Amino acid sequence: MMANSKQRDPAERMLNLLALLGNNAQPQTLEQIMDQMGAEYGASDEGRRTSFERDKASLRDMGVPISKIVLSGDAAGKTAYFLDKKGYGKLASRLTTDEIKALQEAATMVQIDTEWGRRAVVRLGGVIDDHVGFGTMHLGAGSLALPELWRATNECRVVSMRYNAKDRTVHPYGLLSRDGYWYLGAYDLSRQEEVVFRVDRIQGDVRIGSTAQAFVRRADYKLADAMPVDAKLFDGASEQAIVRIDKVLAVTVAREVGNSGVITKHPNGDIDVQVSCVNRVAFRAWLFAMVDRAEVISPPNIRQEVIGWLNEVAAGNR
Amino acid sequence: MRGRNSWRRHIRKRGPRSAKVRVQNALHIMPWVMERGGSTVEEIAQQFGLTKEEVLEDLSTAMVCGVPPYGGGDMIDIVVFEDGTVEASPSQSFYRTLELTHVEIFGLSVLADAAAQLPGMRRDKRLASAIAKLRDFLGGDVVDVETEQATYLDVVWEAAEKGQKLEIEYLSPSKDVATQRTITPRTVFSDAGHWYTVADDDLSNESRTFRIDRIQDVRVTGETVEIIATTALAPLWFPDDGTLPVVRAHLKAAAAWVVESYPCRDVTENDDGSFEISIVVNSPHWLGRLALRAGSNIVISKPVEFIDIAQRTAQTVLSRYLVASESAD
Repeated sequence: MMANSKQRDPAERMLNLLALLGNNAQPQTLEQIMDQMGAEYGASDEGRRTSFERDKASLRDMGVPISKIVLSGDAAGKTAYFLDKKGYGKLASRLTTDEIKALQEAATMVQIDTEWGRRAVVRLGGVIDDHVGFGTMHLGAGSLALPELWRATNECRVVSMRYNAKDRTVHPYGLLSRDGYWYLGAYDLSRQEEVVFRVDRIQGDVRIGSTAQAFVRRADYKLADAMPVDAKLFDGASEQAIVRIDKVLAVTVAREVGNSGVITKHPNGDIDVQVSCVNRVAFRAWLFAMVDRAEVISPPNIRQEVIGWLNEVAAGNR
Repeated sequence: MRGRNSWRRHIRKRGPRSAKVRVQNALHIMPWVMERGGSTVEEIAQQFGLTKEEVLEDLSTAMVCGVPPYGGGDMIDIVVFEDGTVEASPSQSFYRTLELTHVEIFGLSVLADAAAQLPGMRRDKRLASAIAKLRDFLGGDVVDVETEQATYLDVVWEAAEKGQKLEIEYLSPSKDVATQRTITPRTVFSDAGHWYTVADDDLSNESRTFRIDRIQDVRVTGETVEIIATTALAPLWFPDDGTLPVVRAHLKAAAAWVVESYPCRDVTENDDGSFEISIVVNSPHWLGRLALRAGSNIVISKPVEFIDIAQRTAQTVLSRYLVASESAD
């Protein structure tokens, strides 16, 4: 009964194939496999071959290390398959018990909207304790594009995607999480420059090129430096404005710009800060978030520009 | 006495799962159970993020598999008892742990990198060492997580941990006021890039959510209270209890950040990338600030008292510039 009556369930067939390869000390040719499991793979040779290739690919995709060799001797030229024990759990074998315990603690304190990380910890031998905790970091990482981009980055494979209504082909260099958003640091082949893309703005699926097209990442590329820390600097150059901040916001803004950014402290508690205004959209968003608690002092052209924006909105020019 | 495999009648189908998913689950669960010398359905479900029904189904698939001729001794030896206990004998083919999938390694890298920035974990040598090995295994830094390092995060975190009362100076931009208050942090959490604490607030006598980077100054009072075990939850940004006004607005595509940054509802995206939205208004000051930042990219259609809020806010700011210019003259 058993396997024969269940032969049409591909899940059972894959597990049977795995058991067969694992239980044989010698690599098994396709003929040997079919001699033993033929009934499960159907009647026609072509159908058997197709199903076997599909099962093998699926198992490999799950991480099962099915390797092959070309035999010599009586079976010269035939391909045979075996489980390569060296392909199992390489990462797990490198981590110590203490390190796995630290990852286990990390998994209880960080939420990423998916089970991916927690499951990895469990598979490495950790135990997740869902205790009631007073501290939690939530970092949304539920987009399926993320692990795909990560894989492309790790394997140096070209990525094609649609972004801002344009098709882009890029060399992915790494993923950054900043201020609740994920970004892809990459080299854009059409623009011929390094660019940072916001992952949630990628439209549709990302398409990953083959390993045959693998690229080489710039050796001195530093992922952490890929994105300007200050959004107001996004376009690169260094145009500066001096902005007076009311005392109510002085502590917060001083903390944001750092000591070097505060150029004057007034007796009434107001401060003057020097900030980049190269990216006008970011600068405007930053400035107007403080409403009338902030005022551009200089240079005159930036001040006039701000007054112009305000006049436009005040007049209801839409 | 435990009934061998009599649990089968409890299997409840929750919808089809692919053969690949079922095999993958079985290949992850079996070595885990074998390594421990046994487990329970409930524990497996909790650890692997599956339902108990899914665990039973996946184990059920595995236990009818083996090697030809599929006799009693040829099958994978897994037993699930009626009380949910699972036993599995070591098997040549199934006791080894498969390498993690790329999705799992990505998730693990994110967890580890993020945790390394938490108070109490920043100097954890075990975690640092695990991250170094992960990077080495992956061949470099392909994930970089940076979270806000609010100045008083550690103080508030410790207060939540120890039940300490804090005196704080807190800036509320939505109301444009700074207040002095005594709070008892109960939970600390981060969301969308910022750190928050849910705390007992002596000023309002309520539990309130405070954004930690808006704490301007803090003093540990030395007074402690009983720690209440509770779970950190994501914030309910604006109390949407029907008492606050709801604004209806049209956003041009250039103001898509409003949809991404604020809890809008009834959102409709138009073909040209613009949006129709409704948003709960916490305070007129907050809405004025939002409208000014969005400029000509937002058009508020109702209620009538907020239609011209961008113009009014712009005039308020403009008056500051004009006064300054007149003083200079």
